[in-house]
Amino acid sequence: MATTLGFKDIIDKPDWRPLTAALNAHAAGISLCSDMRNNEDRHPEVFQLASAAIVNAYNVKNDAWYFCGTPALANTFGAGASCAVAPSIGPRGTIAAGCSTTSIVTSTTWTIGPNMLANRGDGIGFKVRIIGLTAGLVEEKYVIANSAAAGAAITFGLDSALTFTPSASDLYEFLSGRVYLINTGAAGAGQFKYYDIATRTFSGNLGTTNLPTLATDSCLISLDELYTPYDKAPGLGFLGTLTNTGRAANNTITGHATGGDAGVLANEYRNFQIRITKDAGVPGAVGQRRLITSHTAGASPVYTLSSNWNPNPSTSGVEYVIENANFLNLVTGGTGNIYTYNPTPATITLNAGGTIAADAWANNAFAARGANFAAGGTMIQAFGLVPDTAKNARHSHFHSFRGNLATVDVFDIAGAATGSWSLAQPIGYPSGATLPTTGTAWCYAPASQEGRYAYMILNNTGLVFRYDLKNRVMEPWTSLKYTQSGTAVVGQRMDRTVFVDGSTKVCFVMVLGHLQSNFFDTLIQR
Amino acid sequence: MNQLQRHILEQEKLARERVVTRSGYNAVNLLDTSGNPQGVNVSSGVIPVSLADSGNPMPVSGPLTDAQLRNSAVPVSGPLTDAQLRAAELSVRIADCLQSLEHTLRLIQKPIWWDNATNVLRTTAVVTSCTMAANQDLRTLTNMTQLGGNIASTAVLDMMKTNWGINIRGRIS
Repeated sequence: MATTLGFKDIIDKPDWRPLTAALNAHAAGISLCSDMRNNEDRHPEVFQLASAAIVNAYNVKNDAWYFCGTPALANTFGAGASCAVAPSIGPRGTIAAGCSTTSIVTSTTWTIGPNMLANRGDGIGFKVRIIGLTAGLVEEKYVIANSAAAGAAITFGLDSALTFTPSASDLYEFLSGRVYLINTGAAGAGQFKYYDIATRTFSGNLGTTNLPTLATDSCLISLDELYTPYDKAPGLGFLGTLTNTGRAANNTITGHATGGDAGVLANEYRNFQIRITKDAGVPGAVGQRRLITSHTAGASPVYTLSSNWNPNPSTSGVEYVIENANFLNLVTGGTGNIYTYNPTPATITLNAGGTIAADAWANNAFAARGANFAAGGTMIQAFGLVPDTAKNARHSHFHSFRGNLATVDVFDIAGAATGSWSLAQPIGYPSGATLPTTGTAWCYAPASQEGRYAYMILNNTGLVFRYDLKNRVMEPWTSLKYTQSGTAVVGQRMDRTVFVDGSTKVCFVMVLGHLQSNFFDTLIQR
Repeated sequence: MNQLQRHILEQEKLARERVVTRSGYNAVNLLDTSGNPQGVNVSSGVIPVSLADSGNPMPVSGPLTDAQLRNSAVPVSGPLTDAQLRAAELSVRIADCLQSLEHTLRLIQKPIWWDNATNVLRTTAVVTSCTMAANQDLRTLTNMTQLGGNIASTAVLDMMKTNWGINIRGRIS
C-alpha cells in the first residue's frame, strides 16, 4: 500500500523524535556520515567516527547502534577529524568463466562468510554492477547469496537475470560503499583509513602525502558518481542516460542535438565525469570514466576529456552518463585549500595539470578559497536539486560556510579548469541571529524537497536552520526542544537518511545532542 | 353588712396594724432593713416600686421569654475563644479530608526522601536521581545535562516520543 503523507502547513508542525542513544556521546571531532543515494540503494546505516579507536553504526530501520570495529587511526583524536561515505567505492574485480545470467564467479579473491553480501543490515543484499566488456552492457543487480571464501574466489547470486551472460575478464563493482575516516593532527601514516561496508573490514594505512596538519574543524566531502538529483536514480547521472551523436577525436564525445544534454551551457559540467554504460559497436568501451576538461554549449555539445578513450567508443549510439568524478574533497581549519583524494583504482588526469593516482591526495586539483576555513563550517554540493531555468543554481555549485559568517562562499567546480570561488555571498541569514561557529553541524538532505535543503544545528544550542541551496535563503526549522548545553565543541553530529516507498520519498534529519549521546530525528514534512 | 364585707374589713385592720402610717401622707411607709422609712407615693396614680438589696443581684425565676431578656441587640466584640464561639462540636465529613488522607497513605505506601548523606533522592534503597555535587541541590540545577540520564530526562524523552507519535506518525498512512 502506497504511503500517503497528510501533513498540512501550519496545522501540522515539524517535531523531533528521540531515537536510541548513541554508543558514544558527542565530543570534539566526533562525526557522523552516511550514504546520500536518493533511493532504496542507500545503505541503511549512519556511521559514527567516535574516536581513533571506535567506529559505530546506527541502523535507521532497526533504530539500533552497534560497534563496527577499531580503525586504529594514528594521532590523538579531536577537533579536525571527519568522515564521509563514498557509496560507489567497494570491492571490485574481474569475473571468471562459468557465470550465468544470475550467478557470477569472480577471479578476484575474497575473505568473507557465506551470504554476507546478501544482507547489508536490513535484509536486502548489496548492489553490484556488472560491466559486460563482451556484451557492451552495464547492468546493476542485488546480491541474494554468496559462497564463503578465505582468500579465494567466490560465486554470488543475483536477484534477477542479467540480459547477458558475463564472460571471463568482464568486471564487477560492488556499490556497497566505503566510509573514509580521517583523524586530526599532522599528516602521517595511519591518519587516514576506510571501513569497507560489504566486508566489514578496515583498510590499512591510506595515502596522506600533500595533506596539511588537520585542526580546528574539517569537512570531508564525497563527490560520488551515485549522487544524483532527486528525480534521477543513482547511476543515471545528472541528465539521465544520454546517447552520443558523434566522437570527433580520441578524447571527445558529442551529445544530443535535441533533448538529453542538448540544453547544457558551455562548461556547465566541467570537472565532472562521463561514464560509458552501453556500446554495442565497441563493447570493450563500456565502463570507462573520463574527466571533462571543457565542453561547448548544446545543442550537440562536444565534451573534451582530460585523457583519451581506450578503446575509443563508437561514433554514435553510445550510451553515457554525466556524473560526479568520485573525488573526496577535504576542507579544514586554518587553510583555504581544497585537498583532493582519489578513492578509485584508476589514475585520473586532472584539469589542473598532472594526474592524481589511486589512493593519493592533491592539494592543487582545485582552486584555493582565498580565505581560511574555520570552526562550524561546511561544504555541500548541490547535486540533489534541479537547476532553475536561468541556471543560477547548478550541480557544480559547492556551498561552503566557512564559519562565523552570515554569508556563504560558493565554489563552482566548473567555473574554470580548477573551479572558481565567489566569497561571502548573501543568503538572507536571519538578521541578528547567532552566527554558526564552534559546535555547529550540517547535513544535506538531497532526496526530498527537490533536493534543495541543507540543515544546520547552531553551535551548542537547539536552534535548527535549513539552507535552500537553490534559492540561497536560510530559514529556521523547528528547534530541538531537548536542552542543549556545555562548552561548544566541533563535530559533524548531524546526518540524514531517506524513507522510500515507491515514488514517495521523505528525508529524516538526525542529530546527536551536543556533548550528549541522545540521538534525535525529524521528518522533513515540508 | 354581710360576712364577706366583715372579712375584708378585718383584713384591712390587720394590714394597718402591720405598717406605720405617717400623718399628712396618703402613703404606706415601708421600712428598709435599717429601719428607715421608704415611702410609696400614690399621688401620680401609680405606685413606683424600687427594690434594693444593698446592690446585690436579686434572684429572678423564669423561664423568661427572649423579649423579656433583651430589648435590643447585644453588641459582641472579639476575639472570642473557641469555647465562646461554639456551644457544641462541629460535624466533619470524610470527603472534606479525603485528599489529605490519600496523600498521607501514598507517602506511607511508597516513601521518597532526600538522602543528605549521599546527595541523592531515594525510594527505599533505590537511588532515583543523579548524584549531585556536594555544593549542588535540586534548586541549583540549571539544565538537563546535570540531571543526566535519570528520571527527569527519561520522562522528557518519552514525552517527545509520544508527541511525535501523535503529531507526526498520525499524519502518515
